[in-house]
Amino acid sequence: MNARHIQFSLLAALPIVVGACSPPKGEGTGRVPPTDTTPAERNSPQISLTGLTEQSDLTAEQLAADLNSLPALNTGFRSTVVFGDIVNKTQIVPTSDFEAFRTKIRARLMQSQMLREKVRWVENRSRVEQLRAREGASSGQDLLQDGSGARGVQPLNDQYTYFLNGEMYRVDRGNSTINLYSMTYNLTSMSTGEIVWSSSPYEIKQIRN
Amino acid sequence: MALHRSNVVTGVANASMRAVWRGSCMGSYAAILTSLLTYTLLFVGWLGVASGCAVRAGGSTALTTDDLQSTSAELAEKLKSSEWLRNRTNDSTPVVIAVASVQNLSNDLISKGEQWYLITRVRDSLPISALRTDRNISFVIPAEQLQNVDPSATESRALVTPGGRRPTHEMTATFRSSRRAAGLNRTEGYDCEFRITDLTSGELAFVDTVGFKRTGYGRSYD
Repeated sequence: MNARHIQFSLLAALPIVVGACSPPKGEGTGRVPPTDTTPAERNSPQISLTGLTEQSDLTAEQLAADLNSLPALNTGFRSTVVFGDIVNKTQIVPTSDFEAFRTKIRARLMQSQMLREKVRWVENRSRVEQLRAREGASSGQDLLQDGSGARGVQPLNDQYTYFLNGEMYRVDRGNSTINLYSMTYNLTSMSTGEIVWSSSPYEIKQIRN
Repeated sequence: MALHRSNVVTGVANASMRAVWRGSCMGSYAAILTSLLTYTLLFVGWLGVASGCAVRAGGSTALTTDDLQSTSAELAEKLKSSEWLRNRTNDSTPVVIAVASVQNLSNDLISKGEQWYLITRVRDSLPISALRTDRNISFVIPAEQLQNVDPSATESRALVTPGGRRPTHEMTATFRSSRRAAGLNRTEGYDCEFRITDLTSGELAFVDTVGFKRTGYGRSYD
Protein backbone atom coordinates (compact mmCIF):
# COMPACT_ATOMS: atom_id res chain seq x y z
CA MET A 1 0.00 0.00 0.00
CA ASN A 2 1.65 3.19 -1.10
CA ALA A 3 1.27 6.69 0.29
CA ARG A 4 -1.39 7.58 -2.28
CA HIS A 5 -3.57 4.73 -1.07
CA ILE A 6 -3.18 5.77 2.54
CA GLN A 7 -4.16 9.35 1.74
CA PHE A 8 -7.14 8.17 -0.25
CA SER A 9 -8.26 5.87 2.60
CA LEU A 10 -8.04 8.69 5.10
CA LEU A 11 -10.13 10.86 2.81
CA ALA A 12 -12.68 8.08 2.62
CA ALA A 13 -12.76 7.56 6.37
CA LEU A 14 -13.36 11.27 7.11
CA PRO A 15 -16.99 11.39 5.94
CA ILE A 16 -17.70 8.23 7.95
CA VAL A 17 -16.54 9.95 11.09
CA VAL A 18 -18.54 13.08 10.26
CA GLY A 19 -21.56 11.03 9.28
CA ALA A 20 -21.42 9.02 12.46
CA CYS A 21 -21.60 12.24 14.50
CA SER A 22 -24.92 13.17 12.89
CA PRO A 23 -28.04 12.26 14.83
CA PRO A 24 -29.94 9.19 13.70
CA LYS A 25 -32.99 9.62 11.55
CA GLY A 26 -36.35 9.36 13.28
CA GLU A 27 -39.69 8.42 11.84
CA GLY A 28 -42.32 10.94 10.88
CA THR A 29 -40.52 14.18 11.69
CA GLY A 30 -42.14 17.45 10.62
CA ARG A 31 -45.63 18.87 10.96
CA VAL A 32 -48.42 16.55 12.07
CA PRO A 33 -52.10 17.15 12.86
CA PRO A 34 -52.98 17.79 16.53
CA THR A 35 -54.96 14.55 16.70
CA ASP A 36 -51.97 12.34 15.87
CA THR A 37 -50.17 10.74 18.82
CA THR A 38 -46.43 11.00 18.33
CA PRO A 39 -43.70 8.67 19.70
CA ALA A 40 -42.61 11.41 22.14
CA GLU A 41 -46.13 11.60 23.57
CA ARG A 42 -46.45 7.81 23.77
CA ASN A 43 -43.27 7.39 25.77
CA SER A 44 -43.45 10.53 27.90
CA PRO A 45 -44.75 10.30 31.48
CA GLN A 46 -46.59 13.59 30.93
CA ILE A 47 -50.13 13.52 29.67
CA SER A 48 -50.32 13.26 25.89
CA LEU A 49 -51.28 16.35 23.92
CA THR A 50 -53.79 14.27 22.00
CA GLY A 51 -55.44 13.39 25.31
CA LEU A 52 -55.67 17.08 26.22
CA THR A 53 -57.20 17.88 22.82
CA GLU A 54 -59.73 15.09 23.23
CA GLN A 55 -60.63 16.25 26.72
CA SER A 56 -61.21 19.85 25.62
CA ASP A 57 -63.47 18.64 22.80
CA LEU A 58 -65.46 16.38 25.12
CA THR A 59 -65.82 19.09 27.79
CA ALA A 60 -67.06 21.60 25.20
CA GLU A 61 -69.56 19.09 23.84
CA GLN A 62 -70.78 18.21 27.31
CA LEU A 63 -71.17 21.81 28.42
CA ALA A 64 -73.03 22.64 25.20
CA ALA A 65 -75.35 19.70 25.72
CA ASP A 66 -75.98 20.45 29.42
CA LEU A 67 -76.49 24.17 29.01
CA ASN A 68 -80.23 24.03 28.42
CA SER A 69 -80.81 21.93 31.52
CA LEU A 70 -78.76 24.15 33.80
CA PRO A 71 -81.13 26.37 35.84
CA ALA A 72 -78.29 28.74 36.73
CA LEU A 73 -77.64 29.54 33.07
CA ASN A 74 -81.30 29.76 32.06
CA THR A 75 -82.50 32.69 34.15
CA GLY A 76 -83.45 34.87 31.20
CA PHE A 77 -80.23 36.89 31.47
CA ARG A 78 -77.04 36.32 29.57
CA SER A 79 -74.57 34.72 31.97
CA THR A 80 -70.92 35.61 32.04
CA VAL A 81 -68.13 33.05 32.16
CA VAL A 82 -64.58 33.93 33.16
CA PHE A 83 -61.56 31.65 33.30
CA GLY A 84 -60.88 30.76 36.91
CA ASP A 85 -58.21 28.64 38.59
CA ILE A 86 -56.61 25.41 37.52
CA VAL A 87 -55.78 23.05 40.37
CA ASN A 88 -52.80 21.17 39.02
CA LYS A 89 -51.75 18.24 41.21
CA THR A 90 -49.98 16.26 38.51
CA GLN A 91 -46.50 17.43 39.63
CA ILE A 92 -44.96 16.82 36.21
CA VAL A 93 -47.29 18.64 33.80
CA PRO A 94 -46.99 22.44 33.67
CA THR A 95 -50.19 24.38 34.31
CA SER A 96 -49.60 26.32 31.11
CA ASP A 97 -50.36 23.11 29.19
CA PHE A 98 -53.81 22.93 30.76
CA GLU A 99 -54.38 26.64 30.22
CA ALA A 100 -53.59 26.24 26.52
CA PHE A 101 -56.19 23.54 26.13
CA ARG A 102 -58.77 25.39 28.22
CA THR A 103 -58.78 28.13 25.60
CA LYS A 104 -59.82 25.46 23.09
CA ILE A 105 -62.98 24.82 25.11
CA ARG A 106 -63.86 28.50 24.90
CA ALA A 107 -63.11 28.63 21.19
CA ARG A 108 -65.31 25.57 20.52
CA LEU A 109 -68.21 26.94 22.55
CA MET A 110 -68.05 30.36 20.92
CA GLN A 111 -68.73 28.82 17.51
CA SER A 112 -72.31 28.13 18.59
CA GLN A 113 -74.81 30.95 18.08
CA MET A 114 -77.23 29.37 20.56
CA LEU A 115 -74.57 29.27 23.25
CA ARG A 116 -73.50 32.83 22.67
CA GLU A 117 -77.07 33.97 23.21
CA LYS A 118 -77.00 32.47 26.69
CA VAL A 119 -73.39 32.87 27.71
CA ARG A 120 -70.78 35.50 27.11
CA TRP A 121 -67.08 34.95 27.65
CA VAL A 122 -65.15 37.73 29.29
CA GLU A 123 -61.44 38.32 29.63
CA ASN A 124 -60.25 38.68 33.20
CA ARG A 125 -60.31 42.18 34.60
CA SER A 126 -56.56 42.69 34.85
CA ARG A 127 -56.08 41.86 31.19
CA VAL A 128 -58.84 44.22 30.06
CA GLU A 129 -57.39 47.01 32.22
CA GLN A 130 -54.04 46.33 30.60
CA LEU A 131 -55.55 46.56 27.11
CA ARG A 132 -57.33 49.77 27.91
CA ALA A 133 -54.23 51.31 29.40
CA ARG A 134 -52.27 50.51 26.26
CA GLU A 135 -54.89 51.87 23.91
CA GLY A 136 -55.30 55.07 25.90
CA ALA A 137 -51.76 55.57 27.09
CA SER A 138 -50.47 57.29 23.99
CA SER A 139 -52.54 60.42 24.49
CA GLY A 140 -52.52 60.31 28.25
CA GLN A 141 -56.28 59.96 28.32
CA ASP A 142 -58.95 57.35 27.85
CA LEU A 143 -59.50 57.03 24.13
CA LEU A 144 -62.63 55.03 24.72
CA GLN A 145 -64.54 58.01 26.02
CA ASP A 146 -66.97 58.76 23.25
CA GLY A 147 -69.63 60.44 25.34
CA SER A 148 -71.37 57.23 26.35
CA GLY A 149 -70.43 57.77 29.97
CA ALA A 150 -68.53 54.52 30.32
CA ARG A 151 -65.37 54.90 32.36
CA GLY A 152 -63.23 51.90 33.21
CA VAL A 153 -64.18 48.31 32.74
CA GLN A 154 -67.83 47.55 33.24
CA PRO A 155 -68.19 45.67 36.53
CA LEU A 156 -69.45 42.10 36.39
CA ASN A 157 -72.74 41.22 37.98
CA ASP A 158 -71.70 38.46 40.37
CA GLN A 159 -75.21 36.99 40.34
CA TYR A 160 -74.75 35.92 36.75
CA THR A 161 -71.03 35.36 36.63
CA TYR A 162 -69.32 31.97 36.74
CA PHE A 163 -65.71 30.80 36.81
CA LEU A 164 -64.58 27.92 34.63
CA ASN A 165 -62.18 26.09 36.93
CA GLY A 166 -60.19 22.97 36.25
CA GLU A 167 -58.86 20.18 38.44
CA MET A 168 -56.08 17.90 37.25
CA TYR A 169 -54.74 14.93 39.19
CA ARG A 170 -52.23 12.16 38.54
CA VAL A 171 -51.92 8.70 40.10
CA ASP A 172 -48.44 7.17 39.76
CA ARG A 173 -48.13 3.62 41.04
CA GLY A 174 -45.37 2.06 39.01
CA ASN A 175 -42.20 4.12 39.06
CA SER A 176 -43.73 6.48 36.52
CA THR A 177 -44.28 3.68 34.01
CA ILE A 178 -48.05 3.85 34.57
CA ASN A 179 -49.63 7.27 34.92
CA LEU A 180 -53.34 7.73 35.41
CA TYR A 181 -54.56 11.26 34.77
CA SER A 182 -57.94 12.58 35.79
CA MET A 183 -59.22 15.97 34.67
CA THR A 184 -62.48 17.78 35.28
CA TYR A 185 -63.82 21.26 34.63
CA ASN A 186 -66.54 22.95 36.60
CA LEU A 187 -68.54 26.17 36.65
CA THR A 188 -68.52 27.93 40.00
CA SER A 189 -70.84 30.80 40.92
CA MET A 190 -69.03 34.04 41.63
CA SER A 191 -71.54 35.11 44.27
CA THR A 192 -71.96 31.90 46.28
CA GLY A 193 -69.03 29.66 45.31
CA GLU A 194 -71.49 26.92 44.43
CA ILE A 195 -70.44 24.46 41.73
CA VAL A 196 -73.34 24.63 39.30
CA TRP A 197 -71.90 22.30 36.66
CA SER A 198 -69.12 19.76 36.44
CA SER A 199 -67.86 17.80 33.48
CA SER A 200 -67.56 14.03 33.64
CA PRO A 201 -64.04 13.15 34.77
CA TYR A 202 -61.79 12.56 31.81
CA GLU A 203 -59.39 9.77 32.70
CA ILE A 204 -56.48 8.58 30.65
CA LYS A 205 -53.99 5.89 31.62
CA GLN A 206 -50.62 6.09 29.97
CA ILE A 207 -48.26 3.12 30.03
CA ARG A 208 -44.71 3.79 28.98
CA ASN A 209 -42.79 1.16 27.05
CA MET B 1 -4.27 -45.92 -12.45
CA ALA B 2 -2.75 -44.09 -15.39
CA LEU B 3 -5.66 -41.78 -15.32
CA HIS B 4 -5.17 -41.17 -11.61
CA ARG B 5 -1.48 -40.43 -12.10
CA SER B 6 -2.30 -38.08 -14.92
CA ASN B 7 -4.73 -36.18 -12.67
CA VAL B 8 -2.09 -35.90 -9.97
CA VAL B 9 0.38 -34.50 -12.44
CA THR B 10 -2.14 -32.09 -13.77
CA GLY B 11 -3.05 -31.05 -10.23
CA VAL B 12 0.56 -30.42 -9.29
CA ALA B 13 1.05 -28.41 -12.47
CA ASN B 14 -2.03 -26.33 -11.76
CA ALA B 15 -0.87 -25.68 -8.21
CA SER B 16 2.51 -24.61 -9.46
CA MET B 17 0.96 -22.28 -12.01
CA ARG B 18 -1.30 -20.74 -9.38
CA ALA B 19 1.67 -20.16 -7.10
CA VAL B 20 3.59 -18.47 -9.89
CA TRP B 21 0.60 -16.40 -10.88
CA ARG B 22 -0.12 -15.44 -7.27
CA GLY B 23 3.45 -14.33 -6.82
CA SER B 24 3.41 -12.22 -9.90
CA CYS B 25 -0.03 -10.74 -9.30
CA MET B 26 0.27 -10.12 -5.56
CA GLY B 27 0.98 -6.43 -6.10
CA SER B 28 -2.00 -6.00 -8.45
CA TYR B 29 -4.28 -7.86 -6.03
CA ALA B 30 -3.38 -5.56 -3.21
CA ALA B 31 -3.89 -2.51 -5.36
CA ILE B 32 -7.30 -3.68 -6.56
CA LEU B 33 -8.43 -4.60 -3.04
CA THR B 34 -7.23 -1.29 -1.64
CA SER B 35 -9.00 0.68 -4.34
CA LEU B 36 -12.19 -1.34 -3.86
CA LEU B 37 -12.10 -0.80 -0.12
CA THR B 38 -11.35 2.89 -0.55
CA TYR B 39 -14.25 3.50 -2.94
CA THR B 40 -16.62 1.52 -0.72
CA LEU B 41 -15.59 3.55 2.30
CA LEU B 42 -15.95 6.75 0.32
CA PHE B 43 -19.44 5.82 -0.84
CA VAL B 44 -20.63 4.71 2.60
CA GLY B 45 -19.05 7.75 4.22
CA TRP B 46 -20.68 10.32 2.01
CA LEU B 47 -23.96 8.45 2.31
CA GLY B 48 -23.62 8.91 6.07
CA VAL B 49 -23.00 12.63 5.66
CA ALA B 50 -25.97 12.97 3.34
CA SER B 51 -28.29 11.18 5.76
CA GLY B 52 -26.92 13.22 8.66
CA CYS B 53 -27.68 16.46 6.84
CA ALA B 54 -31.19 15.25 6.10
CA VAL B 55 -31.84 14.61 9.78
CA ARG B 56 -30.66 18.06 10.77
CA ALA B 57 -33.15 19.63 8.38
CA GLY B 58 -36.10 17.64 9.74
CA GLY B 59 -35.05 17.40 13.36
CA SER B 60 -36.23 20.77 14.60
CA THR B 61 -39.59 21.38 16.24
CA ALA B 62 -39.32 25.15 15.77
CA LEU B 63 -41.97 27.07 13.87
CA THR B 64 -41.34 27.44 10.16
CA THR B 65 -42.26 30.18 7.71
CA ASP B 66 -44.96 27.90 6.31
CA ASP B 67 -46.43 27.50 9.79
CA LEU B 68 -46.81 31.26 10.23
CA GLN B 69 -48.26 31.67 6.74
CA SER B 70 -50.74 28.82 7.05
CA THR B 71 -51.78 29.88 10.57
CA SER B 72 -52.56 33.44 9.49
CA ALA B 73 -54.42 32.17 6.41
CA GLU B 74 -56.50 29.76 8.49
CA LEU B 75 -57.34 32.42 11.06
CA ALA B 76 -58.39 34.88 8.37
CA GLU B 77 -60.67 32.27 6.80
CA LYS B 78 -62.21 31.47 10.17
CA LEU B 79 -62.89 35.12 10.87
CA LYS B 80 -64.38 35.70 7.41
CA SER B 81 -66.80 32.81 7.85
CA SER B 82 -67.65 33.62 11.49
CA GLU B 83 -71.16 34.24 12.72
CA TRP B 84 -69.98 37.38 14.45
CA LEU B 85 -69.20 38.98 11.09
CA ARG B 86 -72.18 37.44 9.35
CA ASN B 87 -74.63 38.78 11.92
CA ARG B 88 -73.41 42.34 11.62
CA THR B 89 -74.94 44.92 9.26
CA ASN B 90 -74.16 48.54 8.43
CA ASP B 91 -76.68 49.50 11.15
CA SER B 92 -74.85 47.55 13.87
CA THR B 93 -73.00 49.36 16.65
CA PRO B 94 -69.74 50.69 15.20
CA VAL B 95 -66.71 48.55 15.87
CA VAL B 96 -63.27 50.11 15.68
CA ILE B 97 -60.53 47.51 15.86
CA ALA B 98 -56.94 48.12 16.88
CA VAL B 99 -54.61 45.25 16.18
CA ALA B 100 -51.88 44.25 18.59
CA SER B 101 -48.90 42.02 17.97
CA VAL B 102 -49.12 38.34 18.73
CA GLN B 103 -48.32 37.38 22.30
CA ASN B 104 -45.71 34.65 22.35
CA LEU B 105 -46.15 32.16 25.19
CA SER B 106 -44.55 29.30 23.26
CA ASN B 107 -41.15 27.70 23.79
CA ASP B 108 -40.02 29.00 20.42
CA LEU B 109 -38.53 32.40 19.70
CA ILE B 110 -40.86 34.54 17.61
CA SER B 111 -39.34 37.88 16.71
CA LYS B 112 -41.30 41.12 17.05
CA GLY B 113 -41.49 41.38 13.28
CA GLU B 114 -42.94 37.90 13.01
CA GLN B 115 -45.45 38.68 15.75
CA TRP B 116 -46.66 41.67 13.76
CA TYR B 117 -46.48 39.79 10.47
CA LEU B 118 -49.01 37.20 11.59
CA ILE B 119 -51.65 39.59 12.88
CA THR B 120 -51.35 42.16 10.09
CA ARG B 121 -51.57 39.35 7.53
CA VAL B 122 -54.93 38.38 9.05
CA ARG B 123 -56.10 42.01 8.93
CA ASP B 124 -54.89 42.51 5.37
CA SER B 125 -56.64 39.34 4.22
CA LEU B 126 -59.97 40.91 5.14
CA PRO B 127 -61.94 43.09 2.71
CA ILE B 128 -61.49 46.28 4.75
CA SER B 129 -63.60 48.56 2.52
CA ALA B 130 -66.49 46.11 2.40
CA LEU B 131 -66.33 45.64 6.15
CA ARG B 132 -66.63 49.39 6.68
CA THR B 133 -69.66 49.81 4.42
CA ASP B 134 -71.49 46.54 5.00
CA ARG B 135 -70.58 45.59 8.58
CA ASN B 136 -69.70 48.94 10.17
CA ILE B 137 -66.26 47.66 11.13
CA SER B 138 -63.14 49.75 10.71
CA PHE B 139 -59.50 49.35 11.63
CA VAL B 140 -57.18 51.90 13.20
CA ILE B 141 -53.43 51.92 13.43
CA PRO B 142 -51.92 49.98 16.34
CA ALA B 143 -51.17 51.75 19.62
CA GLU B 144 -47.53 50.74 19.33
CA GLN B 145 -47.17 52.81 16.17
CA LEU B 146 -48.52 55.86 17.99
CA GLN B 147 -45.50 55.83 20.27
CA ASN B 148 -43.47 57.19 17.38
CA VAL B 149 -45.96 59.95 16.61
CA ASP B 150 -45.02 63.48 17.61
CA PRO B 151 -48.15 64.95 19.30
CA SER B 152 -46.98 68.48 18.49
CA ALA B 153 -47.02 67.78 14.77
CA THR B 154 -50.13 69.20 13.14
CA GLU B 155 -50.51 66.31 10.75
CA SER B 156 -50.59 63.64 13.44
CA ARG B 157 -52.41 65.53 16.18
CA ALA B 158 -55.79 64.08 15.17
CA LEU B 159 -54.56 60.58 15.92
CA VAL B 160 -53.79 61.24 19.54
CA THR B 161 -56.59 63.62 20.48
CA PRO B 162 -60.25 62.89 21.23
CA GLY B 163 -62.19 62.60 18.03
CA GLY B 164 -59.36 60.76 16.34
CA ARG B 165 -58.40 57.19 16.91
CA ARG B 166 -60.92 55.51 19.21
CA PRO B 167 -60.69 51.73 19.25
CA THR B 168 -63.60 49.81 20.73
CA HIS B 169 -62.09 46.36 20.17
CA GLU B 170 -58.68 44.78 20.20
CA MET B 171 -57.63 42.07 17.75
CA THR B 172 -54.69 39.90 18.72
CA ALA B 173 -53.54 36.32 19.07
CA THR B 174 -51.55 34.22 21.50
CA PHE B 175 -49.12 31.49 20.51
CA ARG B 176 -48.75 28.74 23.07
CA SER B 177 -46.86 25.50 22.95
CA SER B 178 -46.51 22.33 24.98
CA ARG B 179 -43.46 20.11 24.78
CA ARG B 180 -43.20 16.35 25.10
CA ALA B 181 -39.92 14.45 24.91
CA ALA B 182 -39.02 10.80 25.33
CA GLY B 183 -35.56 9.55 24.45
CA LEU B 184 -34.61 11.25 21.22
CA ASN B 185 -38.23 11.84 20.20
CA ARG B 186 -39.52 15.36 20.64
CA THR B 187 -42.91 16.91 19.97
CA GLU B 188 -43.99 20.52 20.25
CA GLY B 189 -47.73 21.10 20.19
CA TYR B 190 -48.51 24.63 18.98
CA ASP B 191 -51.76 26.43 19.48
CA CYS B 192 -52.59 29.90 18.22
CA GLU B 193 -55.64 31.51 19.81
CA PHE B 194 -57.03 34.45 17.85
CA ARG B 195 -59.48 36.79 19.56
CA ILE B 196 -61.32 40.07 19.23
CA THR B 197 -62.09 41.63 22.60
CA ASP B 198 -64.54 44.39 23.46
CA LEU B 199 -62.47 46.98 25.34
CA THR B 200 -65.42 48.34 27.29
CA SER B 201 -66.85 45.14 28.71
CA GLY B 202 -63.99 42.73 28.21
CA GLU B 203 -66.37 40.46 26.31
CA LEU B 204 -64.85 38.26 23.67
CA ALA B 205 -66.56 38.98 20.38
CA PHE B 206 -64.71 36.33 18.44
CA VAL B 207 -62.35 33.53 19.44
CA ASP B 208 -60.92 30.68 17.42
CA THR B 209 -57.82 28.53 17.49
CA VAL B 210 -55.45 26.88 15.06
CA GLY B 211 -53.40 23.96 16.33
CA PHE B 212 -50.72 21.67 14.98
CA LYS B 213 -47.72 19.69 16.16
CA ARG B 214 -44.12 19.58 15.10
CA THR B 215 -42.10 16.47 15.74
CA GLY B 216 -38.36 16.11 15.75
CA TYR B 217 -35.82 13.41 16.39
CA GLY B 218 -32.43 13.69 17.97
CA ARG B 219 -31.03 16.08 20.49
CA SER B 220 -32.51 19.55 20.39
CA TYR B 221 -29.07 21.15 20.08
CA ASP B 222 -28.43 19.16 16.90
